[in-house]
Amino acid sequence: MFEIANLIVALRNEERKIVDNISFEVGSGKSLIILGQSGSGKTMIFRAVFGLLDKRKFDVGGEILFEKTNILQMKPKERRKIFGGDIAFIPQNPMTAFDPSVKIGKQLMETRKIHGGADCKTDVLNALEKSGLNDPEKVFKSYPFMLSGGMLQRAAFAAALMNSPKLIIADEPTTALDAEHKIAVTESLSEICGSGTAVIMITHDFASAQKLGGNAVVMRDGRFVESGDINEIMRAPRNDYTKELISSALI
Amino acid sequence: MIDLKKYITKRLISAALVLVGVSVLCFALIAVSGKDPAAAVAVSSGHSADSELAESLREQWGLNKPLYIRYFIWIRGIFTGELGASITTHNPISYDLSLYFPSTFALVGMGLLWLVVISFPVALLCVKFHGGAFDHITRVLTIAGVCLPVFWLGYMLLLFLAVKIPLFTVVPKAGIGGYILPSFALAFPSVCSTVRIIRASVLKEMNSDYAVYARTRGISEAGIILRHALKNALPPVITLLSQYLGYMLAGSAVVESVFSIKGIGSYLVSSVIGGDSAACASCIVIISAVFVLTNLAADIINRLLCPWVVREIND
Repeated sequence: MFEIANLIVALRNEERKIVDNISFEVGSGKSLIILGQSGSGKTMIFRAVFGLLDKRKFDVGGEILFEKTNILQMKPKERRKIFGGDIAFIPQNPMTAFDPSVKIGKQLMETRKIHGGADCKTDVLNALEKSGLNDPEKVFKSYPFMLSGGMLQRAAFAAALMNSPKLIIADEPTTALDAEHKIAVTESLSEICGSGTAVIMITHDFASAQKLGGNAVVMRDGRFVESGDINEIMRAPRNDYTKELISSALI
Repeated sequence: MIDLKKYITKRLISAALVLVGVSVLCFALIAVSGKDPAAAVAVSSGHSADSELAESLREQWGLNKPLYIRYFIWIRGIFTGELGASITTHNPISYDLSLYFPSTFALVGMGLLWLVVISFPVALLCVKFHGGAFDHITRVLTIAGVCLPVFWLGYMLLLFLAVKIPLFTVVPKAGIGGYILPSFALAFPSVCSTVRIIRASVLKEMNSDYAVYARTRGISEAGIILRHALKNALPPVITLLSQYLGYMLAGSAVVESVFSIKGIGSYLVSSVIGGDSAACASCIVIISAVFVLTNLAADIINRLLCPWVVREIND
């Protein structure tokens, strides 16, 4: 369903590659965890997928295939139909993810409208309610600063789920949250996975990764140094770097 | 929104204090300038500075009263319009002001219109095509434009658009059409720096988290610029625009003299030269009042645009 083949990201005119020839695949209802420390290049993967890398500064090579179509070769207009629709994104920090000057409802309606919602307001309210917000009407009318981090995180999930995505990419979704919300987020992600949506979680948080389960890859200096089932990796890491990461995470 | 009311009240009080300060300074300027308007008038009509005429004028204008009483008489005059007579035009000052202010306001108002109408589209196009040819050309032109002296630009506009290609007349026609060239010359340097500021401010927003998240939700660059980044980038720009309005008002004299417009700027200059301190002070107080009020308006608009600021202050 979603496949990355020989992806290379490099700063223009620089020898060193930030993402160095990586390939992986995620099927519907499956999850993939990309583990790595900051600077390992893991965030570059989602930036490449969503076309966020400035073409004047970065060279992006290889293929990013969504349902057999290479996203890298799509026109911006076609890509925008997929982004936020079939491929949705969960941001790292819900507190800064939304435009501070626009009410949440309006921001979600904007996304819903792009992806062909007829009755956007009802759709958004339903989505907010489904993601566990008790008073969707109030959230709809609130500016981001009026809501807590946990509520905004739920709003971000609502924004992702309301367009029935086939793939969700979450960038460090647990980093900015406290322990209680971390658990809620990984639980939501595994629920989404269970309902047939593919999930890619980019993180350095081993505990949350293990909670989500599924396949994992460990990234270092732009390459995958280890891959396999997350529980397997945690139990018996083969690579020295992975061992180091796990032991430092446990401390 | 209670906070907003509190904020506006606070700002109104501080604006009023500033205006009182300005009026005291202006009046002090008159007092220490050492020029005796009564003597000046008497001398100009062939009498000596200590003649009976001068003495009667001092009596009539209240110049022989203590300073603080003269201040209150003058302040009362600002509100009632009894500001005394100008010694350069021999008209009541209030009459002169009502004669000259409208054309300066028209000039500055139109300058502000140029400022908004040109700088926003140009700056947003620079953001949309960031790093492209349009952006680079605009950069060169705006940096050059900031350095252009207004009087030089005024003469060039007259030379090319009134003399060589007679689209306009050298002495401006009555009505709005006469203000097109002068207001453009007046606004041009401000337009150039405003383009730079809007561009930088919006570009900064385009790199923020919410802009990245918006892109991942399929929102187009134009949509992010117009519906999100611009609104968040506005506050510094609005403050700047209100400042430029003041600068244009204060700097109108140059343009007025280049384009032979009878406005408050040239009136102020001739009052200064003629030693007409009462007329000077009245002009300065009114210009300052406009400046303070536009700044106040800018602050309130910013507050309405950024509701989240309320929380930051409460925290």
